[in-house]
Amino acid sequence: MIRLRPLRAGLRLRANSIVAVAALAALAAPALAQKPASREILIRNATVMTVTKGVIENGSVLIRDGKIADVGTSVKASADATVIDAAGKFVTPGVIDCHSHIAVDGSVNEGSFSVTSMVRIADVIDSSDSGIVIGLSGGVTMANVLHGSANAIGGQNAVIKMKPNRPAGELIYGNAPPGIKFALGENPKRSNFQANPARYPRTRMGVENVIRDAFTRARDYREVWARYNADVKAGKKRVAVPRRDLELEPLVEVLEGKRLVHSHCYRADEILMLIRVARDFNFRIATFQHVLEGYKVAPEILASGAGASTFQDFGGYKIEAFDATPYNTAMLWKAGILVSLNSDDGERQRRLNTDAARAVRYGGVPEDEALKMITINPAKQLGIDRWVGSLERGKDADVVIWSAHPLSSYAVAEKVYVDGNLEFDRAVAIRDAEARRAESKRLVEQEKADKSAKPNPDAPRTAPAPRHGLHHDDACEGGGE
Amino acid sequence: MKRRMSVRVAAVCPLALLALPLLGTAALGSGPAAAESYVIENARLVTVSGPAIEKGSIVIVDGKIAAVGATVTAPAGAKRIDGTGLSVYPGMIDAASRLGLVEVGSIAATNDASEIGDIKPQLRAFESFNPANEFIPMARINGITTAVSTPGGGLIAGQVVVADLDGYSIEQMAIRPSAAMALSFPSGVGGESFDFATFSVKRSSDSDARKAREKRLDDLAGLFDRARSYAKAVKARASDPTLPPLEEDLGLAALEPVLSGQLPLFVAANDFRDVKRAVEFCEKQNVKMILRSDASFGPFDLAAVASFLKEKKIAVIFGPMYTLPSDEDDRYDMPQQAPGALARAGVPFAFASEDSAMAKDLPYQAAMAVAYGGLSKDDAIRALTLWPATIWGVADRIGSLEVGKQANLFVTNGDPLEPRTDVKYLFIRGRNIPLVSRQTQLYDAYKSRVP
Amino acid sequence: MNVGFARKACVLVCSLDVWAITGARIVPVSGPPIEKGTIVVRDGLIESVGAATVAPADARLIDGAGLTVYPGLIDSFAFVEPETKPDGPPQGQPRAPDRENPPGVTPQREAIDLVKNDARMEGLRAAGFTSMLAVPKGGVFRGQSVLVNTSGASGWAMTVKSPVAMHLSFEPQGGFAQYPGSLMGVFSVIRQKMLDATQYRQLREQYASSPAGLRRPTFSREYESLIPILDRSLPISFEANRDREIARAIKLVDEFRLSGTIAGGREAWKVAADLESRRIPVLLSLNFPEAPMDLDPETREELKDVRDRLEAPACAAKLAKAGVRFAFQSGGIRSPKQMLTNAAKAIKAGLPADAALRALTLSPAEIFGVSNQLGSLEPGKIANLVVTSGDLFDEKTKVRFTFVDGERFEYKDEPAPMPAESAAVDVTGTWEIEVTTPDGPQKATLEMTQKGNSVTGMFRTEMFGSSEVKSAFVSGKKLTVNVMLNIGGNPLDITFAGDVEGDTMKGTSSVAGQGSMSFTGARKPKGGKLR
Repeated sequence: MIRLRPLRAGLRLRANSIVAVAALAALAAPALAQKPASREILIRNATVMTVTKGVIENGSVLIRDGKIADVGTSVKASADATVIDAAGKFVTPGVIDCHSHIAVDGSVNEGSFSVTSMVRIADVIDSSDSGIVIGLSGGVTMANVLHGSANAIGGQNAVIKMKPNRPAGELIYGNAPPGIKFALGENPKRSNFQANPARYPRTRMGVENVIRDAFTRARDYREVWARYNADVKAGKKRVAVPRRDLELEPLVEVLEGKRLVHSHCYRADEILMLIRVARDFNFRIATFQHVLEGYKVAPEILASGAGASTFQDFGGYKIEAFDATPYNTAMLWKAGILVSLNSDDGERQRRLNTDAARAVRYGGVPEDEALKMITINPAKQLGIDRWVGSLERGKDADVVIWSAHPLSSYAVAEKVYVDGNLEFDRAVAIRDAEARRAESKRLVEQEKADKSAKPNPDAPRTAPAPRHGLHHDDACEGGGE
Repeated sequence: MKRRMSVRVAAVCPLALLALPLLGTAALGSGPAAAESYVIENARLVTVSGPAIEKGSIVIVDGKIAAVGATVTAPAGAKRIDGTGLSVYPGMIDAASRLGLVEVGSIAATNDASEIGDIKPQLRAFESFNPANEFIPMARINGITTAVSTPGGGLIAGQVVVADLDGYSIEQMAIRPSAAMALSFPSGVGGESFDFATFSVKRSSDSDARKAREKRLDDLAGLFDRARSYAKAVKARASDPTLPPLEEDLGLAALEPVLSGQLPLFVAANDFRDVKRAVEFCEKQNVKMILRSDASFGPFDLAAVASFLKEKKIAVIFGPMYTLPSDEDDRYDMPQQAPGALARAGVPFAFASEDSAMAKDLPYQAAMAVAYGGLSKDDAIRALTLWPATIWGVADRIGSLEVGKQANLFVTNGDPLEPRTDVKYLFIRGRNIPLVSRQTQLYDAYKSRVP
Repeated sequence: MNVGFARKACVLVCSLDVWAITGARIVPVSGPPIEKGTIVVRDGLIESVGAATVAPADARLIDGAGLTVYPGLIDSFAFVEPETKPDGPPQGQPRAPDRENPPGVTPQREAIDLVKNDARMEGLRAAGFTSMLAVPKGGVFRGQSVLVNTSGASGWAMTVKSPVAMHLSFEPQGGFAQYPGSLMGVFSVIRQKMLDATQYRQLREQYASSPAGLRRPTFSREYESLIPILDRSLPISFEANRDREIARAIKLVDEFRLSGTIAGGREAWKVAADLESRRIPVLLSLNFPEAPMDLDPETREELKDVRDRLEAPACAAKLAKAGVRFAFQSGGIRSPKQMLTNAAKAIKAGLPADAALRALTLSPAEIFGVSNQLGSLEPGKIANLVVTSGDLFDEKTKVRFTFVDGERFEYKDEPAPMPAESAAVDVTGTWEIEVTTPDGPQKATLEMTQKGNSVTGMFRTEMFGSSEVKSAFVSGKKLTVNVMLNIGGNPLDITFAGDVEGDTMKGTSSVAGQGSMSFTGARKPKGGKLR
């Protein structure tokens, strides 16, 4: 038998056992004190943009037990509910970034091979990455954390909730079907990077060949196991157990429709190429990522059933991004394709709301549709729209209170709830920053005061870790994310 | 029609794309022609130099602003533009840009911003500037009419050019062919950096970095001394032809305007310790200084930074606001606080994209300082128009809606810092520029693809 | 007696002998301290210990008055390096990444083959450390550790237990172009190897039970060495310091049902409950982080970095409170004395002193499964002891004796350093030395070059060969020269201390621990072959 998703089982186990630790960790972290999610929170007098059920003026959102308990104009809360008067404010579901590289320890690229489907982002989630707080500050409550784009077939993704400084298992969203990163074009070709030793492929036809070869091997692998399992079932004793291959197992899952393919791509021709390969192997592409030339082949993308997750207005930095146009979003949307806007970047992530605004300007996407592109649409692309992506009763309480209309340049996320927990509060964040400075200063002085012992020459020296700065596709020509 | 054709060709044969910028498609249909007269009527006029005129008109004659006011007289034959519900702003200035210098960032063949070598005062961005750069029309569509294009790389990268973003040649476009000498100030603050050559993190201690900086500054001071001697020797020969001939040195000659106070040093420094050292250095060398900052001044109180800059009369060009704090303990919107802090202290500053493809985002970058950092919307507009014009010494020609200035302006249906706002018209030196770019062309070519 | 100035002297008296330390304070660890008692060592084992214990008639006596006897200390994790690096890529040419045989996967490597009785062991003994867990350095699957005593004829002779554990790290091995080049890749390598070993075990068992009709599985040292991990008969140790690193190790422990251990453990207190519930012990590093040197006073450090170093010494106390088993390890500290200094920091940060002692003695013995041999002062256990001048964690305390497998090492106070008087003579030249010994005069030659106070040179004898002068200096007219001769494998530590008068000198030569003899010296005329 091929055991599917052994990792997830492990995570669940861990998630249960680690509750007590969360309390300890919270003491250590300068984060917001975590109130139990069972208390009710009522946000009222706001312009509530539900995304799926229209805009409610003077509306309320009630949060209970980490879920949205009610949305509307006449919402009843219990007497001890925390009431937040949001008059003049706008309330939306949390922004979902369908392409991110935050919160990852070490490189987001396993750059060695052209197929690295055996590596898993979930293994290396780092919840202490300040990128999580930055994302929250732009209203982002979930991110599709993807492997880099150095390989035609990259590693396995992790869909996370933005919960800073919590055990990794609590960030990983169990409802999300597993996914995998593919990449086409310059990055897997290593066009902007002198790979040493040179790595196959160097052309787009080579990229196609690598993917086709991998799925051919995966099909054979599935066959070997099917045969073995049938033999065992038939009571045969003299059969040798086949090898479990962690590279091919996730590809078998793709073939069986159990794993979502998120493929980095730019040029129209490579988009069509992957559609052909997927057709030949009978799997579906969940999303084309970046897909800057998607507008050139919108009918084909629509027919393939794939979604598109694009940069709204970012291109030109490499030749395959030279035909980028901010009208891409509108053209894909008008073609009927499910479109989301992503950041691929630790900084852009906090302004996906204004990216959505640009979709309105370039090509006339209606405002409510633009808002969908950073909420319910990415949720659909990630297969989690039953639980997140809109303000609806019963969904996860991922809620943002904005200072202004979220499509405005001047909108600032003031409060952000994730699973009903206030994970970001602008006022608290500013206060905390001052407190961190004061605390650091105090501790250093205290340390200097009782400096009795000689320094240990072998001691590791505390020094700031390199920032998780390289969060976007082309920041690292060597990697390509 | 012709233009649409070329895009179709590109779609069929992607390699042709490489050639496109060289063919200069971006300049097709643009470029100075006989300037017509215009009057934009019944619009909100954001003059910047004075209060906004809520309902007024602006007259453009011979490439210049001929009249601004609630009531104006337009010459006969002026083209009329109904500005009802629209606003007119002076054209925005990208106060440190790569426009014209960089096409496709990842392709060295199209990068003419960064020359090799460490000390290259003789280099002029003017000479690299490609008027057909594809990103110029994209920047114009967002209201940018002028760029201060800046070379990069090494200690002294060369001279910056102030150019209007319309014309067939840089001779036509340049307002100031050489407006400053770009200097990347060596940092005396240790820390970690990622070394792509070895793919590892390199550490340097504060004192090592400081020693290295002082060494570099000694070298720089030595270079300046030589340049002074050289200038003196040149001058002496001008008055005394009997002196033996002098071997010409283009680099030393290029430094003369800096040392004689005609050309400011455009000094990139970020940490406040480096900024202070840079000011000290420039004071000692008696050269003018404009500071180029990424808005992260290091572990220092912004009010202290602002009052220092105020006292020293240093103007600041802020690099892209799309930046994160340099330190995890800082507030998450630290870099966006800096412009507001400087505005409150009365320090002149301007916004800059420091990019080519992203130059178009300049107004949205400024908006971040408004949203997060308490900068007023009016000051944000000033820091995109009149302030950079003043800092770069071109306020007599651009930066505000004033009679006699170049007609560099744009007309919007709303706040230009809002991404939903559309730019309806844009004028550079009185020319009504078609709001067409490679991006709109691609849209037009593909929006109704058949089949 | 002047026994040299640069190093402690130690004398091997007799390897298999009977010793009784009488009237000492004895801290058995396994029980309450005995304020005044006797401990008897015979044939490498503890024969008896107690307040009422009487020294046997054949025992050589050590007056323990004022001394304290502890079980010998254990460094529960220290790297040993192979002579040559495994898997080094061929010089000059980049190697293609290898999916099946990635670099750094050497589970078959055994530290028992790498450890030897060298200067490091000498240093450990001098600080009271009588055992060390030696771990092969480098790699993801680093290999198997060995628990050794810190003296013995060879690595194998020193061995108490091998293998003790399989050691893993999460260090990427490859750089960008090699596999695993990322942290993620490390986990893939670990998983795939565990699965491959599982398949190997299954095929092997299947074949062993009935080979007919099956292809014979190819034997593999690599997978053979992993089977005990899968069987939980050998613990697996993950090097992990950050809470999230430890959590990742725990995830693997759960995933493959391993018998896990954490080595490093700087932030183990943050995941103490998870460790405790799984009975995962921690080999806790005493190499606490410290502030960066050379920091600009205006540089503000990030709070998490400051906390990092302030919290590290308190980890042990928090683990103790949470019921997590732990033992102290050096974690890269080269000076064993520094380990005790840092253990004292852990005590200052709230760890009871007896728990700190336990973490250096009985706890590691328990974790390594040798608590019936080591870790406490009980009859029948291996005679590994340290005898000190006072409390182990007091900075001023000196180690007087260390017993390793009953072998006694004695340590004496270092003499006060010589007064730094400027040199009044120049001894440069070749000197004929004559030492008066009970067996008659012995001749030697000292060739010396003086620069300021310090002197370098060669010492030559006919019988015992030559040696470089280990250290020498001149203070006023006094010359002190320390040389180390190797006589049949035994070091002979000789110090000459003499007064120089022109081209002659006289003084005493002392052999460490064996008394002193007078010597004279005369400088050969200049112009000889030396000058």
